[in-house]
Amino acid sequence: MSTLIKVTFSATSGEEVSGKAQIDRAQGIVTLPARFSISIDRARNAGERFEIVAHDNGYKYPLVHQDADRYALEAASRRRDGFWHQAWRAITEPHKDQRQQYGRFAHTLSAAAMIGLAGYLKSMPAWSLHAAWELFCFFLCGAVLFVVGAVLSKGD
Amino acid sequence: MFGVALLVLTGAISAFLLWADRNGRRVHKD
Repeated sequence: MSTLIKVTFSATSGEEVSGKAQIDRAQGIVTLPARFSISIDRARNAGERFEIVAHDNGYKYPLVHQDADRYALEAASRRRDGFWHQAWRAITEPHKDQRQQYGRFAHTLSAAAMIGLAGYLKSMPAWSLHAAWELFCFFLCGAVLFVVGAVLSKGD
Repeated sequence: MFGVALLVLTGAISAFLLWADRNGRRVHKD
């Protein structure tokens, strides 16, 4: 088990600080580094509301102040995003890796269109305007999906 | 008809993927 845990500080001012903090897992005590304390003091002095959350094993734990820079994990209030919430966010707000996977999906569809084109070309009995139009559609689909896949695979 | 359906489907998939990509970049800034 790691002795470090990811912690996020968020304030109503819009300030957000993320980083690692030391955790004593036996007692459930997190010791925040100094830069968190600075943000907390600044929010307190400005009268802003704020929350400090620890992230562990997919769960979010609210941190409750104990003394100085020591905070307790509130295990009873831990929460985790449900499957449907995660699925919705994967579709509407994909992360970098997810966007790259979507790019690969577009390239797979592009390859399928090219294979479809070749299959159509070999199986058509004779050339006609209709056949040429459908071959053109296959090619256009492949080209468009290739470009879309390239944009999604940009990686930043 | 098949060709038009193929183009419409491709357009819909492309538009959706590009929209999701732009949304993801805007939200996560990663």
